[in-house]
Amino acid sequence: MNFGESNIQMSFALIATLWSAIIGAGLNFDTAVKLTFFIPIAVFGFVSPYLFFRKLAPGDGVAFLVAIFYGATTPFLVRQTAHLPIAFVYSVAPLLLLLLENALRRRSFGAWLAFAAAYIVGVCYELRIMFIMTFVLAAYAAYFHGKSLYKQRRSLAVGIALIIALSLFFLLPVAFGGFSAEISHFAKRGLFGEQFLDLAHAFALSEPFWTGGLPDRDFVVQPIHWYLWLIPLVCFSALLLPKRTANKHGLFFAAVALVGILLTKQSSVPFPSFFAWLYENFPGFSLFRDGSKFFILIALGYAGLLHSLFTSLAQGRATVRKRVVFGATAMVVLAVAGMNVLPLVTGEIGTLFVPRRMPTDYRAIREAIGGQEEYFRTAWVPRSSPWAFFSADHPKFDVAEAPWTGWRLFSGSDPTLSPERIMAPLERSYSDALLDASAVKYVVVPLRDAANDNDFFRDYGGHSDTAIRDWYVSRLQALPYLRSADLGTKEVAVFENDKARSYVAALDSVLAFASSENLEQKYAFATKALGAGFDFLIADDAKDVPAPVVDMLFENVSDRDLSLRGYEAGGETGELSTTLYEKHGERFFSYQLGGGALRVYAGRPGQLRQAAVPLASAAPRVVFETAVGDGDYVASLGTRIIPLAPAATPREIGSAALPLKIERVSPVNVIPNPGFESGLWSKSVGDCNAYDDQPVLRMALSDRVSAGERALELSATRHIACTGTTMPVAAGRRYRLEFDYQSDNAPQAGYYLEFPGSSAAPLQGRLPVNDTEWRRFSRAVDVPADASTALITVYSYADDGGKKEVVTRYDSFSLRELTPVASVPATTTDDSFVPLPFSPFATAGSGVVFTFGDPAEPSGNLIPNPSFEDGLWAETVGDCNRYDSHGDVDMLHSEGGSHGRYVLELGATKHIACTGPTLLPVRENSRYLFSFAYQSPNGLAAGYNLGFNDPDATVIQERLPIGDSNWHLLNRQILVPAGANSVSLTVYSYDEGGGRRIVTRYDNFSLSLLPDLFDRYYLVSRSAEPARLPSEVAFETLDPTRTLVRVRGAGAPFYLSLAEAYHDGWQLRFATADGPFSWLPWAERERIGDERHFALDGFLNGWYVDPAAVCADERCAANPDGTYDLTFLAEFAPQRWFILGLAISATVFIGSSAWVAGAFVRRRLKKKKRSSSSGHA
Amino acid sequence: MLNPRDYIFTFRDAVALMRRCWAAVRGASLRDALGVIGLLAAGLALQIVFRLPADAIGLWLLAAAMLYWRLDGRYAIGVALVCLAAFPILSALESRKLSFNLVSAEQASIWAFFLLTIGLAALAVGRAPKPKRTKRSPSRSKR
Repeated sequence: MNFGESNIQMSFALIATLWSAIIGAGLNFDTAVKLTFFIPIAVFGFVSPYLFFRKLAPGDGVAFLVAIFYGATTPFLVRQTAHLPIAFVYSVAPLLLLLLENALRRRSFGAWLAFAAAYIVGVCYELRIMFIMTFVLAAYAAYFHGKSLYKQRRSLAVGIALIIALSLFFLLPVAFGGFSAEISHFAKRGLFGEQFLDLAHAFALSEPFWTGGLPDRDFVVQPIHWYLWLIPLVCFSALLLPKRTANKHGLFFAAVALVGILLTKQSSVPFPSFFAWLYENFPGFSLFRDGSKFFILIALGYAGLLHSLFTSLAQGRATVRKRVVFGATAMVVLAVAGMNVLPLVTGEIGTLFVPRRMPTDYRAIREAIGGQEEYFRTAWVPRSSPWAFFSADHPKFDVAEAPWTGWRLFSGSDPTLSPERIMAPLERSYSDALLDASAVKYVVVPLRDAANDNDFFRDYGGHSDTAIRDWYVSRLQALPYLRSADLGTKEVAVFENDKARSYVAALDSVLAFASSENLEQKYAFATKALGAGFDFLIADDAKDVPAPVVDMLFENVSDRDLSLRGYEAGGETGELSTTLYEKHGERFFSYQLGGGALRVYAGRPGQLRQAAVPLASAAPRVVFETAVGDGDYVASLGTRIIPLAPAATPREIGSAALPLKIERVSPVNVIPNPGFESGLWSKSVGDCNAYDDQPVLRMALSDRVSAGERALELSATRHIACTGTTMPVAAGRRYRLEFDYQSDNAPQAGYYLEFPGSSAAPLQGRLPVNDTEWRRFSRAVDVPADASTALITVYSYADDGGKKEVVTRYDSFSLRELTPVASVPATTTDDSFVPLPFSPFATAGSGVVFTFGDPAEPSGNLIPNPSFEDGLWAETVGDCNRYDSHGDVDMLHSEGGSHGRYVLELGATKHIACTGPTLLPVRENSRYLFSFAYQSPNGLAAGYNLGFNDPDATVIQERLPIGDSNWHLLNRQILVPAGANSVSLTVYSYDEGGGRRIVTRYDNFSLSLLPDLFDRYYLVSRSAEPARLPSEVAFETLDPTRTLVRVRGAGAPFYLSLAEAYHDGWQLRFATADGPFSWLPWAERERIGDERHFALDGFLNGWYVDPAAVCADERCAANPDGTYDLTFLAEFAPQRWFILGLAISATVFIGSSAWVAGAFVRRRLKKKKRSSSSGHA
Repeated sequence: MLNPRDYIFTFRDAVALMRRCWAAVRGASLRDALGVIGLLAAGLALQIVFRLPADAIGLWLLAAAMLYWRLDGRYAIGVALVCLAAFPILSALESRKLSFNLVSAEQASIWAFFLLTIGLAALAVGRAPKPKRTKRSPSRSKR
């Protein structure tokens, strides 16, 4: 599956082997799953508790009642709908206790072997539940057999040794196979779902998503059915039995139940921090992200209590009263069990309990893909159906899972399951090459199969869009590198990528990037400037892989110095040849107005300097020139208006993704009384948010003006104050709207421009106010064809608290018609990269130093009070995850920090604490440097959110992992989307459950405009000997972990790719003759060194092979033309530990079983002999 | 023979408990007096030092008292079952906004958990084998 990521659940290999054996015997996968999961769960769920409790105290009726209860609990039923391995261990848990009891009583090797085998089978199914069961088993042995444990220490040691020996097949590869990083990553994902579990659900043994029918799939906690409360009442009443009748079992199982309740409730009261403490401190407990796995303890405990109760009632003389109590209690248990299993009988529970029919389309896909011999993958959008075909030669992967697989580099930072995020890796400029490298031949959109209760599209956008599947199909149809393929399906959409790369391939071009960011820009540079392809590696000091190094200059600007130092650049005669490239022909415009003429230039003037000396670059070229008269002229990009001012030298307009329009501004202002010199626009102030009848609003003329002698002053304490005026406009014409606004205490001003009688949507916006200065707002307005008048309204917004009078002033309104002069299309010039002459010789001691532009003109920091020296940004903390009314968040103005005296401290005990400054003004299509410092003494992550006011409401957000208590610095270049003129910033402290107050501190924020230097300069250093493809590469897959590779005619270095997920354990060894013990994991092997093994494209295996260097000692066959033939074995080395462990485990199991069987036969023969001899006597 | 009165906590049990408490007060030994003083001191310490709420202090003191005087754990378990039985009723009242600010359902479940734990601990202590008292041999003492 996926890209062949390493399997950290090695123990499940036993079950997979069973499946293989069943399928190999001629049965299908469906039967294999039934034999290994459905049937054992159904049988053991009732038989296993029956056998165990019958063993504890003889009595079929009591054991039957307990078995009915145990097999019909809601956690067990819900697990059977989705988590079958957990359900399996739940079902066999009492059997494990029975086998342990047998082993401890009989003290025979056979009994211990049976217990060890059953224990290992449980581990193979579900390690985590068996971790819990291990403690139950240990407690059981200590409680019931504590006195005799020392006496039978030998048999106990044999039992433990058997368990260890039988576990070696997964213990060895886990311990020595290099999976510790993956396991650690898996185990440190943090707690989850604290809002789903509480004490009440734990007591009532009520799974939080149990509805009494189809389990809830939207993570909505369900109310507890009243009858489930009868179970804890009945069970714990066993503890009320008189001492003379109560048995020892009751106390043990009551303790198990109470521990289970304590852990299952997770972070709810009481002891809300206990679970989190265990998660962080108790070895192995980090496997449990939530408390639901501990329901098994409650079920076992309640079953034991029930058994204790019924046994006590059944003991002694059967009186009428006892019979009544017994009967009533039994009826309660049976009735509750019956209520629970009723949805299974009626089929309401759905899910796996309802028969499914495989749609014929999936059968057609299986036949079409399975019949193809070459290796390739299938990508499923958004994810695969349970019937999606896959095999070792044709793996499948789910595109929605990209952030958690090898494609994480290409899926962006958005962790949500939004359709746009899911499609993103397929819609990038390099996606064609990415699919080739990933060996993806088919992209499949499965059925939205509601008939089979298989509509997973609802989790991938289908909740709000009933036509979401069509949306995915239409987006794939628009991709130029895919074409529709006919695999015999009717409804399942299949697209083909006909350039999928082979499983093993030789490459002659791999670029080394300094970072994995900005891949689209680097890909464009690689293809246009270097003629290279997509393949790359990320430069790593631990590796020695010769490849052209590509540095995007100023890619990671961390301060406003904008200088780069220390580039090692050899001369043309050295080992490295270094070339500097400048990007030309961009959609960047500048203008010059003066002398009766207006000139518009495309391209950017060079601003790169080496050692303070400007480097020569191509001058911008004139794309438009016209004679102009008197009057005002503007350049407009979309709605953005840039006034053109006379100047002697060209002045910047900026980057333009839209056509650039040059327009003349009419001298006529159509807004009456624009500066309020004649009074207010209306007699009384309007209430634009009349949610009750208690507005506190005011309107007046002010003498604080931007021009003239009067200005409008709107103030609001409650509701929103507003006023407006109408004006005539010409239909279908274009206007420039302008006005000034100012406030001493408002975070924002706002306007609303509508066209009465027109069907066109109104224009509106909220305008950030960050200081007390007057600001001028300006935008272009396209008047609808059916409009003749316009109505503008402006606002003053009251504060949330309703205690502060918020005053906002407006002045100097203007609405003037724009007359087009010229239009320059955005696609005037194509991008190209031109070598830029520079001196590759470094200045002694400092390397080559590049600087950009004029550092003397830094842009200011747009974030007010950036290091909190003047207090906090807001008076109250926000709750950004208010899923209930029990939030516990706070905000402090603390001392300390990375800059200045104070920091922002956000605390989250429950929900997510958040705060942010006022709206920040930004410029569309411009790049900003965003930075701040963050720290947490006890949290896993900090986080921020930048929300733009563009039409798409673009959001940039990140969770920043924190692994220590040090201060960290975040630096990001932010591109403001088209149409945005303000951004909101929010920072967070995330609760982590457990009732702990998670503290996250922030300091030293900065948001400053960057000069236009991104994606503009590239430095390329090439090695002396370029790579060259060998004449032929052939391969033969021996098994999923070993592939024989034959390379012919290799005369120069080349790169070898293997389309499996990168892992250090993959080795490229020479396929030379092996010794008898060469299969051992620690046997030395001749191979390509680890320093030449790299992550190709960030996720695949790649090796750099230099025949001249590695072909020694007759390892390669030399050809007459000077080339070599090489034969390699690409092998996943940790598999050897698995094979070694499997050999030991299998030997121990077979040997032990044979010994037990032999002993049994000997005993039988002896018995037979004895009986025959006594017969003779 | 099993008597249902032993199985179900009845009003008669409650009266018996109160009588026993009263008898204990009247015939308190030095150990009992020390126990009461110790409990009062512990209660004050929990209030002043740890600032625990009243119900938490009560539960801690109950646990200490049950272990100190080796009281029958079934009393605590009986009350716990009452709290458990009250949960669905209180929960239903809360959902209909009829709780009258009495005990919340969540609080009842917390009490039930603590009372069950205390009761179980007391039962376990009660089952623990008591230390054997060594009897003097009459013949030896005579010697």
